[in-house]
Amino acid sequence: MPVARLTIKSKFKIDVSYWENQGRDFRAELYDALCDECKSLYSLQDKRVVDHVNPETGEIIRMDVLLDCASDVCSQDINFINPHMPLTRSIFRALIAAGNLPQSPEEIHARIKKGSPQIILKELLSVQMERDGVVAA
Amino acid sequence: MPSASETYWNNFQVGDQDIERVYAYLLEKGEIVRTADLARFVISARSHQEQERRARLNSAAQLYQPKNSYEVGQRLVFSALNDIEGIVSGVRVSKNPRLAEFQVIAIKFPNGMMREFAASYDLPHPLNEIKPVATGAADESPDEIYARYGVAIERALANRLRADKEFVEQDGRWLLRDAILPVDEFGLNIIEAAIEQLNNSMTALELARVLKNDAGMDLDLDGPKRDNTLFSLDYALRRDERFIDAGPRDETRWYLNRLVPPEVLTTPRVLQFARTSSAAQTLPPELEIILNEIQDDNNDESELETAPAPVNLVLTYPHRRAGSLPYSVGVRALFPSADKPMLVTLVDESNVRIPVWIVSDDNYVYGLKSWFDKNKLNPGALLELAPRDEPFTAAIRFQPRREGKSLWVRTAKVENQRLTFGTAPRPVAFKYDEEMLILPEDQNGLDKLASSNFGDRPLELILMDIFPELVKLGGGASIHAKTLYSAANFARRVGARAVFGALVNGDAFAFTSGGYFVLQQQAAARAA
Repeated sequence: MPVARLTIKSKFKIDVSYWENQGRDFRAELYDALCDECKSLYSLQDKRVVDHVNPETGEIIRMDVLLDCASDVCSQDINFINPHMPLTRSIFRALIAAGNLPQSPEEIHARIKKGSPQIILKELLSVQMERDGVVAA
Repeated sequence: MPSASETYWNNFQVGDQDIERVYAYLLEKGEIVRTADLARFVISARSHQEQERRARLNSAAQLYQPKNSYEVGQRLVFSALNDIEGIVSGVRVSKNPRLAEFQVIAIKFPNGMMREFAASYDLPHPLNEIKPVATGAADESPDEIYARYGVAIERALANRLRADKEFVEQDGRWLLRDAILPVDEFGLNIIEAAIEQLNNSMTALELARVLKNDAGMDLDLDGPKRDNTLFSLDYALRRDERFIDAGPRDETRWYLNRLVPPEVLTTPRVLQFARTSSAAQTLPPELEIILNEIQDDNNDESELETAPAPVNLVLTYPHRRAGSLPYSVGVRALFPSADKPMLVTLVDESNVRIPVWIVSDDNYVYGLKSWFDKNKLNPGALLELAPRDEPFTAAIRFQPRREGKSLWVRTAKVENQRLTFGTAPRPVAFKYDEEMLILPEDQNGLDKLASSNFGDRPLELILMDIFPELVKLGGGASIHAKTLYSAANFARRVGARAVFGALVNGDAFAFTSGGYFVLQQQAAARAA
């Protein structure tokens, strides 16, 4: 359905090129967020692109090795997204846990179990999220 | 064990794909569609999709599952991609140091696009769990599915569409919001003036004609956009608080909110029913015959389907005071069914048109006070309502009587905050029911009594109060049931069946014959 305005079904992702344009290192931020298991598997210098299997369709997505690990391994760690985190960090980590595949506020809410899809949508449109390069997909 | 079709359709949930289909359907049609037709469309689309899927599964194509291995040239159906079919055009080894090796197959889709998928992939994946079995979505014809599950599907679809701002619903019909024609303030003002001038409710079509003919608006009332125009007009009026829908159950007719009498929106105290037992009372046959003669004024909400026919009514005090009539079964048959206040017209023998409101919630027809006053009608007056050819109208008449010499009649008044009765010579200008004629003597006192809690007591106690008062007027110890019904209504609006029931079941009263009751000695002594 052609819906022009953003809703709780609209998809969002992290725009990595935005980080580059701002002179910031997305991979360093990502590495800092990784769980211990992924950090033991990879170093920040490991810049391989690997085959990531889409958990719904089985499609292969060529993905940064750190993001692939975050999506498959860290996402299973209960501390990766926990209730004590600020909402903006939870949302950012939810996007990482999804391999930065576009996610809707509804999907993010299902993952972080905090606030509501409407609150998450509002947060996604906030200045803070804009600074983190989160954009509508 | 339920069939596959029962399992599928009993668990029907509206999905995003259904909404997209409905949107596209409405967009393509560009006109109003009923919920039932949208439900049929969704059923057909799902059924058709399932048939296509079955055809593909029955062909050489195989259901794609990541756990299987595939060879170049194999045809695969991708269930997670709306069952699109593709051909394996290449196979390579996976590249991911974290995972054991698996196959990566390149798929060429009919639109020429190439995409890669995992194969020989043993890790848990939801697609590895699905079974290549057909669902029950197409086991029955769409007509059969609609007949069996249509109600639930319609309900689910309507609920989902209502939550989506792209769709607008009115009276079980849908239109895309973008297809709504705007009605500006000028148009709304013209409509307001037209309704005020006519002083009657008007349909959207009648109002659209006013806008087109009198205000020169370019409205399509004869072409393909006619329904959209009327739907849009209804939509605009529904959102403007100046207007109110005063039509019957299945038809919208517009009127002005500010012209609706407050007595229509809130039932006046005098027309509020006394609390009585709602259980159907079995009455002696004689009393049932009397009930049929006087068209009981009760709060029975049963919708008996009766053909329109002349209705004889006997005016009771609450209706005389409020300027109303009972919305009895016979009166209901004269008009379309109402589920909210409905504006109709009564036409008297002088062709005077009287706008009246049917208030179905409390079973009264309001708006006759001036007409009662003009014709000097009082409780006990015989009235007749009759069908007319013109829709939303009925004839009303009473039989005038030459006033001449005054008659000795019963009168009702209040003494020491109690209802009492007397007799007095009074002119009577109408034919009346001998047993029910009681004239209000002390209107202020009766109004105060009506606003007090005098009538809130149990009906039997009220009747025990009234009975001796009526006996004192002379004429013997027997009082007719209709007289007690008419008299009790000075205390509180109450139906004849409830009064007769209280008389039959009350220990204080004994039924004699001919519709008469006597007060038992013991009860009489107690009352005295």
